[in-house]
Amino acid sequence: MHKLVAAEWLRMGRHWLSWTLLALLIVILVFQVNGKLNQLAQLEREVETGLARNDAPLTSAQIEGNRYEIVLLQHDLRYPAFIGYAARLATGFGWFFVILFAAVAVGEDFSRRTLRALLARGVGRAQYVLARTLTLWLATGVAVAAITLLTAVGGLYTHTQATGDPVSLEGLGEALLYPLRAWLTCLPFVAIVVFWVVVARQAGPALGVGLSLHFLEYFMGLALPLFLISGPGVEIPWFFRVEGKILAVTPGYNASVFLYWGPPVSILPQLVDAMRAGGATFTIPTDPWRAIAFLVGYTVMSLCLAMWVLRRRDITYAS
Amino acid sequence: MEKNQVVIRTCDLTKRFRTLTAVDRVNFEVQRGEVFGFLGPNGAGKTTTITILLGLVHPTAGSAEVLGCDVRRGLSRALRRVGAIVETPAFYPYMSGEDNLRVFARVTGSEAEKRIPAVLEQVGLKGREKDKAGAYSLGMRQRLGLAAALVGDPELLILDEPTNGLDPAGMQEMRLFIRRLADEEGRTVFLSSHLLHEVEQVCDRVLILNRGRVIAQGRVDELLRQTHAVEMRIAETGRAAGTLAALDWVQGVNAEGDWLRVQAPPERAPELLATLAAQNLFPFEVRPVVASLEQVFLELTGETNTEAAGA
Repeated sequence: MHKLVAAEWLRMGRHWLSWTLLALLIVILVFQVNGKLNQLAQLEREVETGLARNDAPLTSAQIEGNRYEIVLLQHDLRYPAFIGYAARLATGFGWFFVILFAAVAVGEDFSRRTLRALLARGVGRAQYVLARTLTLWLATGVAVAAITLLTAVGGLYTHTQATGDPVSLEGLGEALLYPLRAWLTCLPFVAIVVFWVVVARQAGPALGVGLSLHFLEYFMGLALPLFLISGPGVEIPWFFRVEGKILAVTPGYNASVFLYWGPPVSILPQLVDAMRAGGATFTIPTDPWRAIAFLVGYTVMSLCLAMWVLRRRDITYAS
Repeated sequence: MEKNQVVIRTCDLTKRFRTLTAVDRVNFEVQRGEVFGFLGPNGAGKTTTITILLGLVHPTAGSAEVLGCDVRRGLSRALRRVGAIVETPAFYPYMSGEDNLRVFARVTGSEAEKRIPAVLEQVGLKGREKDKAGAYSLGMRQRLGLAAALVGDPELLILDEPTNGLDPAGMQEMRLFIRRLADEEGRTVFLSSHLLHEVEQVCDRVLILNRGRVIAQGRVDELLRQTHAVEMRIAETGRAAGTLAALDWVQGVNAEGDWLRVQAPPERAPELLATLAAQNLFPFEVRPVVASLEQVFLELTGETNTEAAGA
């Protein structure tokens, strides 16, 4: 198994797509962080002048909302919490890229017929599935490590831009948990894509299914803050209730719950506590252990099914 | 291991794809150290048989063993001692030839990686190993395929049409190379090809497959002898045919006009003439007919195709 992983590792390193996607992810992250810094500066300006971007006067409620957003942004852009924040931001496009890369990397073994060359060397089919998944997951680990290193250095700059406070390392351990969890969440995505590629015997359909499902989760997730927390006596429309139930079992939502280790949105913990104390409840599950169970379940089920399908099949490439 | 040890054995090997029987009760053995030719027209079942031997396709019935391991169980151990090219060699085009070999060598083991320079030299790719495999010509890809098959230092090489895409000089070189692998390095080569000239020159034994069935197998010279004949022009063809047919070593006599075709080894032509002379029969013209493997092949596959069409 380790021999195959070593062989695959060499291939990943030589694949142009791996480095392109990593570079793209870093560029996107830089733009996202820069956008957050600009947003923070704008909010601070608005609170200071009482005027919106278009010079319209702001209401006191709007100013209060801005103040809350400023606290939230400063909380995220402060060092070393920024390392965790950047890891969370990176997963937005990162999971898409993981799906894309896994589908292309595994799919080419079918389209280029290299799968046959590997199996003809005594590589077991189950071994192939496991080694492919493991290598892809390790490759995502390299990307996460690179981004963590970059944000560990770049975070010093964002800290000074976002706050005037001196830099401290308090909370570094907690911040580093986010990159670790971000990396762990890549495994179910890789396993699911490997399964789809094995079933479809090519990257295209797997890519279509993977990206469609993930886009669906993403857009459903956009509506999440609207109905995530509900106060007593508030009626949630049936559509959102159904959407919530579907979303709660998707890999993307559970990966988010695991990543945030709770409600998958940037909410200050103090605010959540205050809302809970006021009788508000979460309308969809936000228990990270439940999310872990789902993610492990998806991973194990996908890998077992992929091995089963591949073992039963003839590798023929009949024209 | 000893010579004459069986490295591949099949017993009633059968593969059916829905209604198509691609391989039909095929039986053969390949001995250690020999170059075994696997012949057949397109669609005969050659590649299907090879993919069964490599564990890529599950047989429907019968059994097959490679280096003592059943293809249904524990074949992985045996395949580590096998190098193979199946149809067109497959590579990662964005990697250099050398890196492609490194990928396959790593799968095999650390010793294999050390063999890469020697193998590149052996197949004539030295100097081009840093080029991307995607830029290789078909002939170079075949050489790289052979290098990938050899990098694990295999006991058994299974080569499916290894000279595809090679120019005549390259084909000649490949033939000599394959012969050398068996003669000097003691490797067993299972060579599938439809190039009869190639097989005739390189192989010790051949098997001819048609429509999934074995229609002939044996030593090349024995197969050729089956279709060797002596042709003669003679006046009394009827009496001459009867006289010669009575000889127990004559396999058959066909008369066509004043020509007789006697199925007998050409080196025994003097004995045929002596027998005829004893009966006062003297041919005007005598000529040996030395068959090529191509003739044997066409004759045999033609017969089976006619049988199949008539059935």
